[in-house]
Amino acid sequence: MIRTLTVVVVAVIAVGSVHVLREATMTRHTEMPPESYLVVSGTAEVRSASHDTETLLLALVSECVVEANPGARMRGFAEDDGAFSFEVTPALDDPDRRQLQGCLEDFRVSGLLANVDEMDLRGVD
Amino acid sequence: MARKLAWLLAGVTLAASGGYTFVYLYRWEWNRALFTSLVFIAVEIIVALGLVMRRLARIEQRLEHDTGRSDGAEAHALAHLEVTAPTRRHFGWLEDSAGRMGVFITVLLGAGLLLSALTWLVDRIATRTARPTLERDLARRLGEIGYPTYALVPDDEELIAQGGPYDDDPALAILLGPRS
Repeated sequence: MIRTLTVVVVAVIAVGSVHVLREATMTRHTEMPPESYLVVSGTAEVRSASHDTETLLLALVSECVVEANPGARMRGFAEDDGAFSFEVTPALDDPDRRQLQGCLEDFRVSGLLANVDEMDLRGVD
Repeated sequence: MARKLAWLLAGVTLAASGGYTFVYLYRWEWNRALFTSLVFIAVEIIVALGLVMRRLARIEQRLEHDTGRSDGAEAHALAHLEVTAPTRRHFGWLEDSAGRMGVFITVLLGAGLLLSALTWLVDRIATRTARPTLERDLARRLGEIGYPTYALVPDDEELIAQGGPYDDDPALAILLGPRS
């Protein structure tokens, strides 16, 4: 009896955990206004002094914006002493923002490590 | 102590790498997820290999223990058999029956008498029944190889008749037999 009860409880917990994880990780896209945009700012470090930080960052940002949302467009890229910022229009929804941040902070470009400090949504109610 | 520490370290590494794999996947950080999953698989292989080696060591230890125990039992049984083995007396029956030789000789003589009588009886019967048959068969076989009762060469009268004026008479040829 106790064994059966234990099995039932474990099964319920397992099914509930899977359901919670599914709800937490499932991608749900939302439509963003065309005039909205996302302002991203962060910092970056390069391993070697001979590498041009701005070039590496521009390549990384361009690739990540395309990967997060192929329909979005990147504009206003600026880099100054490791600090960078750019805008993406239209703005990205929550799953795309998480994907963009993960792409930027991942080891995509050899010798470059970026860190996103802030993502600010503009033009969204 | 060191072994427990190694197992603890392996367990912590497994848990951390496995957990961070999912965290990095959630964050869309594919390269980090790949790296941590690689660490997870490597540690998993090491842990599995350690478990197999530990199990093999236990089996080997148990085999050695069982072998030692069976050797001791075998030596004990052998010593017991050597102590309790009965003393063998070959031809002991001859020694035991030495005092009863009279009875043995009597039985031996009686059996010999009976056998002699039996063989005499068999000889008599065989003589009466087999001799006539054997003699008849022998006579028949001797008769086959014996000399014929008629002459082996033609006599003078036959030679004269064959050489006479009637030598072309078929009836006379039959009567006289083949020419010699």
